[in-house]
Amino acid sequence: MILLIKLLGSICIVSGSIYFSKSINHTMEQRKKDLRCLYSLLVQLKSEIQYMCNTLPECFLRIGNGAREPFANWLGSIANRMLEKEENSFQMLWEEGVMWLQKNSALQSCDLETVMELQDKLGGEDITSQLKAIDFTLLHIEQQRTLLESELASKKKVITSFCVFAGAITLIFLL
Amino acid sequence: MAKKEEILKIVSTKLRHILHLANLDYECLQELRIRVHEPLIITYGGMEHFVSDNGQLVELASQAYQITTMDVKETLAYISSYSLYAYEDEIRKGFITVVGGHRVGLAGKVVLEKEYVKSVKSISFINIRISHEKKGCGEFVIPYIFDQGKLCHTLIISPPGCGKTTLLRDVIRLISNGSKEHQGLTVGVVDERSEIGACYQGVPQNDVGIRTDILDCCPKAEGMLMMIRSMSPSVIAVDEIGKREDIEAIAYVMNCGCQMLATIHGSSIEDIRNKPVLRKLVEERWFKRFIILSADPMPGNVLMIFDEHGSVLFDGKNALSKGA
Repeated sequence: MILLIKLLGSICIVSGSIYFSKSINHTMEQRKKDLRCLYSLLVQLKSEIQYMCNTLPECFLRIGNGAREPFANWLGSIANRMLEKEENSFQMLWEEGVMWLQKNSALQSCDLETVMELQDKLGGEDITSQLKAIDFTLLHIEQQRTLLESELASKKKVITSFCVFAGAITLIFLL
Repeated sequence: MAKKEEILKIVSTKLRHILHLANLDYECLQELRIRVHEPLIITYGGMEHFVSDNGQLVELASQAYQITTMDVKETLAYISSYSLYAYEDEIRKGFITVVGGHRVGLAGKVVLEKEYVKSVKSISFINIRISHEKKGCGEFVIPYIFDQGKLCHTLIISPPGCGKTTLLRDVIRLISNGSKEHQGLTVGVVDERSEIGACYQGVPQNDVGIRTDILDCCPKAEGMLMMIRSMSPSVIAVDEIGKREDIEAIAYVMNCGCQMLATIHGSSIEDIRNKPVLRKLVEERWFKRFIILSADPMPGNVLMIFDEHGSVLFDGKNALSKGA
């Protein structure tokens, strides 16, 4: 009877470890997906500014309509606040928006560092400097993505092995 | 959106509060002058007034609210929807048209590229001109510009500020909508300065009629040809002709069988005849009707209507004296 309880307990520990490792891996996968999505949105923003010459609220609404959550909500809420014309600076709106995105996505502050810096560039008179700032942000996101991808495979293995190993050790101790 | 809301939406929150307190009749408000470190000035009911912090119309500049740099920046952000780059062409021309057809004039430091204006930076002066559409002001001239049911090539002549564009806009609307006497016609408007349709994001803010197509912010000469090729209009309307290429495009339009509606600066047919580029418009009788406007007693007053032979079809002075 005691052996059976130990066995059940051990199975729970091993399954918990596997679940834990999976959830960590999922977060990393999600961050990768979010980086890809952010990259795609910024490419769209660049073309909206460069070729369509749309205003920022129009750009955000158009891009946000085709985006998934939480990006749709992020862009939509910034656009709506801009259209209300109650906030006196774009910088403030953008900063709050980026902080909200950080809370509601798998993106980390290092991923959004250059996105935050766009607050001083977007909406100005000089279209070239805006496009260059977006290019710089895209480059940064691409680098983050490459870094994450290279680390992802090894990290995944390490985390899974560590969790399974921890579960197995516990099992041995219990038995 | 009501005129009041349209105006309040594009000014800074502080100015919004002041104007709200002022409790103005926006039908009488003509201009709003915003200059950094200078008093807030409005043109209201034909008179210039200073506006104080608590919304009172005051006589002394020292009692008026002093505009801050922040007010100008904020107003500019609202006018451009936080996107100055999207209005690069408009800023280069010196004005932006906003919702409601109101024109916002901008001035600051001009950036030149060779001898051309590339942009305007450090914008510190804003003039909001409130658009007032005068529907029905063209009804009077309609019977004179039709001959046996056919619209004549018509030229509206007046000095600046006498209501040429307002009259042209209403004539376009009436021709486009049609009436019991005249069937509605397709009108192509080449609106180089966005004054006729006052388009905002491609949508006319002024009523220009149900059969009207607008080429907004397009150079007149090029626009007239584009209109003919693309929209097959019966009538082409343009504001303030004067360049040689405009005249060449008008000749093309007339030869295509389209009727022409245009305005020009001047105070009489003689004025037009004295301009070398425009002389042949009169001498070769391109236009069949000439409408002369004056601002006396008020803008939009029709002074005379002539036909191509110089015969007077309507004499405003006589009509006024007979009426008196």
